[in-house]
Amino acid sequence: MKRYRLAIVEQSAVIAEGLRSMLRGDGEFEVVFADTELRTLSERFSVVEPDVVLVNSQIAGTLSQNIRSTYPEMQHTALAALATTVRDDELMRQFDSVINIFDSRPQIIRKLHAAIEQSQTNPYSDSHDLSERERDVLILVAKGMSNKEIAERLNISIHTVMSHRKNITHKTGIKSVAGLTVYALLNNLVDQNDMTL
Amino acid sequence: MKSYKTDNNNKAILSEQMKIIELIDADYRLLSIFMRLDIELPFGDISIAEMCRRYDMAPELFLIICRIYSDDEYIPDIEGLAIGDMLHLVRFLRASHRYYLDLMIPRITEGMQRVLASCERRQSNILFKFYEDYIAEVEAHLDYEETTIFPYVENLAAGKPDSGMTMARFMENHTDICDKIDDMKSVVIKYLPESCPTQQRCELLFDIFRMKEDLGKHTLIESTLLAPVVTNAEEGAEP
Repeated sequence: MKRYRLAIVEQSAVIAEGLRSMLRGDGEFEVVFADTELRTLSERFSVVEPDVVLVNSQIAGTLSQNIRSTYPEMQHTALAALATTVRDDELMRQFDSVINIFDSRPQIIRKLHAAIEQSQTNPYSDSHDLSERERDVLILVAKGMSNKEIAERLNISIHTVMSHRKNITHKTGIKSVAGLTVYALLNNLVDQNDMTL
Repeated sequence: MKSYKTDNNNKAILSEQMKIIELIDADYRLLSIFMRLDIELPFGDISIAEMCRRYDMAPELFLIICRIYSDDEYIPDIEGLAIGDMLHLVRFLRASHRYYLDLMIPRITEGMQRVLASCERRQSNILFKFYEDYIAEVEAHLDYEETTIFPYVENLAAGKPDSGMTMARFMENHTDICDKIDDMKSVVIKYLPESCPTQQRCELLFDIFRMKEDLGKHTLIESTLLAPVVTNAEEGAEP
């Protein structure tokens, strides 16, 4: 079963710790980061690599822009709001899902799932065409290389490889390596003879 | 007019007193549950409770399964469910496996072959290989459950726990089979050449969506119903 990495940005230690202990032992969500500031998460983003970020909505309210514009690295990451006060609909619109502190554990887990699904609902983006770099990465993925090997070959960081891969999936609507290989073959980006089968 | 009760959101309230005909009226997709459990039609006017008695199914569990299948937001409440109930659930899961292997997969294979017949050979070979690999993966996944997880649950229910293993460990080995069928859907919708006939492509997509949804529910039943109840039972079985 897939395990999702959850980052919590919340000012109240009681709430952050409460969530952490509530999700402890959960097969699906693992709290891999907790801090009081979004900036700290942004700085450590490539290490933390969260699948979903849960942010207190008040913290989001202190930013001059929405979270994804302020921190572009969170562009394709699911965002869930933690609502502790009266909700401001305008502010909430940027989130994929809204969790209330009075929600039960199953409700919280369901809403975290909803956030991940929501953030993935738009795989058929307008920019269907892959950039040149994304095509390079896709070709190496199709040839069966790992992220590390691709990073070495293209002389870029693993983190960059991963964000290219996220974009490729976002643009093609295809997640698995086997599916991406089919895409590369159908579009003549690789030849069957290149494949190590 | 609807003969069954609905909640504020106009969703049917499923209950043991509800008639089978009302259940199906409320959500015809639940017919697939009857199909796999080999419940014979016609149901006439019998209630869910009566049907469950005839087919030796725990009614609460049957309703939970129906709710999971028809309500995407529903999260089952496992309180009150014991390991004995999981025997009924395992029976349902095994029946689901037969439904996939004997009915859905052959249908999709046939649909795939029909659609690919109009593609050029190179493309159809690539796609059919992807499809075959995926099906092999699904079969291995189902086989792992049949030969490892289900017997473990059955032994635990019989009071003979297999001490070397835990449900949590099984779930770690539980591979994801939903991503790739989603990819298959994307490929069939977006990347097949235009020469593939629309009619056949759409029929294939109907079946892929049905299978994808069903596998999603199947996984959900295992992770939110089977795994937690079995884990609770393991804790109870410790000396």
